[in-house]
Amino acid sequence: MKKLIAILSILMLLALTACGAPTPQKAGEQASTENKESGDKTITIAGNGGVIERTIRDVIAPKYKEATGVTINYVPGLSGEILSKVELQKNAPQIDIAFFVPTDVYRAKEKDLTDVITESNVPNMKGVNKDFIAVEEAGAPVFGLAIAPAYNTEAFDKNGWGPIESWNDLVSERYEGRTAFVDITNDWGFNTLNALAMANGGGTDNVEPGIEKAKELAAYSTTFYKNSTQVMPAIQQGAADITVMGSYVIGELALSGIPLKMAVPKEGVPLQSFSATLVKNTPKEEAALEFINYLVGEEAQGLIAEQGFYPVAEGMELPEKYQESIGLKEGDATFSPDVPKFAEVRAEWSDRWNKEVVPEIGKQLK
Amino acid sequence: MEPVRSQINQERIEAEPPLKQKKLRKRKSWVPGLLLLVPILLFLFGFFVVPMLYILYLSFISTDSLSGAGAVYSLQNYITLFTDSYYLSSLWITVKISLLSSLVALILGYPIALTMAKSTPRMRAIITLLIASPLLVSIVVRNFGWYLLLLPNGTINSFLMNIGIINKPLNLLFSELGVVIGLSNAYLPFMVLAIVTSLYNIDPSLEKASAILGASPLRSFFSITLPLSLPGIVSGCVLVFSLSMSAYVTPALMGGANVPVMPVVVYDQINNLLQWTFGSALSYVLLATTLISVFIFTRAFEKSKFKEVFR
Repeated sequence: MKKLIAILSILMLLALTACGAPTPQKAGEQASTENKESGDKTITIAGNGGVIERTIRDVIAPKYKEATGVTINYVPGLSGEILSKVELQKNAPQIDIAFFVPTDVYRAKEKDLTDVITESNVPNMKGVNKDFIAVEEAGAPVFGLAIAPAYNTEAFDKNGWGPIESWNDLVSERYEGRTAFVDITNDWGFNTLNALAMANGGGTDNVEPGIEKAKELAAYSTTFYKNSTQVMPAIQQGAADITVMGSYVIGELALSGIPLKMAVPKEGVPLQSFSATLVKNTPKEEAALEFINYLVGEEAQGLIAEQGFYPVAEGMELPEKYQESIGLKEGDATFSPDVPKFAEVRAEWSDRWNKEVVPEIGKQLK
Repeated sequence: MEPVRSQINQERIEAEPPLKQKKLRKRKSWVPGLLLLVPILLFLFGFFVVPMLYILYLSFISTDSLSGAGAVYSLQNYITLFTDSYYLSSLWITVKISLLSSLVALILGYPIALTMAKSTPRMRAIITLLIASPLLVSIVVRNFGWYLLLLPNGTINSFLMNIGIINKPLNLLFSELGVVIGLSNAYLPFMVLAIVTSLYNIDPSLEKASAILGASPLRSFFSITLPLSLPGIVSGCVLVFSLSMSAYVTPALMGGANVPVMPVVVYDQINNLLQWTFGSALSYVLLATTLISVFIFTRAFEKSKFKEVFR
């Protein structure tokens, strides 16, 4: 029996050792690992699934491999999930480049999970439109977008509904039960609340007017979707005529034949991007930086724009096929959200949204 | 005669191994069994016990800053949880939906299990396959299927409106009803398989004896079949209830923001707000609620007038 207990104890200890957090590498060790690992010419990227994953995996990665011999390993996931992963792996990163939404770029920087990205280590940053940069020196904007209202043009024409000129126009009895807005946990929902606050005399510093307007929005809605991927089928199935979503999704749906068009309210639409961040202590720093540099360069941005994203490189245009649905025209108002402030107020706004706005859902539905 | 008996006794005593040897043999007999358990024990220890202990540890840390700086050990997370009506209401919604889902699965599942128990082996195999087939499809895909069916302009509402039963769409989605439909559908196989196992173990001669003694089929069912299948019913309910308590995908997709069940709240806290420590406290309260509910439920049956059935 004693022998058995001893064997079991040893096995348990071995298991515990295996489960333990890996020891951080010392400076000298890191250099040797880098040399060793650069030989395998593979870098791991974590980013959103869907169109972003397809763009990198199917469009950019093959071209990049052809040119440099470097293989791109893509791990799909939601921005928040990726941030959690990066944090858990911070002593032994498995991910070399992490794509985040703006708030998570800031949160990653605050948690000291990313390394600096500047024009000195990513030269193509010189040509990047600064409006798309979420947080200075924390990441490189790659997939440009606007979060904006979108509407079903056929339903609007049929019902004689006027254009959406303000974020306040989202709140109307006429769209009763035909809305598809996402919850505040998603960036689209969070930006909607911020825009409603702006449209009513508040802003990121004062959400009060936004909360009041959002209650009215909730009253005419059947729900706030917990997952943004549910909004697309709702629009495709004709269950909703009005929504707020990322411009690239509007462009993709419009291209697939759905009569959907982006509206740019007079208060403006927030410009932002999915940004590539360099994970701190990655053993493949050099290869990762080279790839990030490629991503913000004109060749990659041309390929990315073909998928419906605004090119972040100065002077480049959105392809013609997307101009009708999501093209930004001269005079269209845009703004860059205050990302650090977003990160600061996120928990408080979510709490208020859950307790004050969500209970109002459907109250005005007949 | 006497010497012969004493000789036999003597031989018996010599043939019997000493007490120490007997104990040793007994011990050796369970050693291989224990060794077989080692891999799963190690697996559970590494991938369940260690993470759960870590989550428990996190739940006693409170921090306000994003970077996690200024963290202190305290009961603040639990205090917030029990003093904020939003989280208590979320817990109540979770328990209510799980109870309703178990009830619906039981009502739908029992007749299926009964049919299976009384079928030919061939028919039984076909029904088992049909019952288990939804488990072969991803829960996300199944929920998106339900979502399209239950939309206000989806198949079910359109059908009911076309045949004139309703004149405006029913609110099947984004409600507790929608979540109960989704959960009871998802976990029905667990209920059926648990009940049918109990039904297989009932001695068919009991029902025959009951019929011979003049009991109607209905009386036989309520006096014999139903009580003897109680262990299966209890196991099925415990399974469906526990799975429903921890379900995330179905409530998120079918309930939207309208049905804030605890797993969805935990997910939001951890993945969207990065409030790991508060999310950990919520997880533990959810786990404790599930365990206490299951304990009360099973004990209530084990102490009931049917307690003999559970022995």
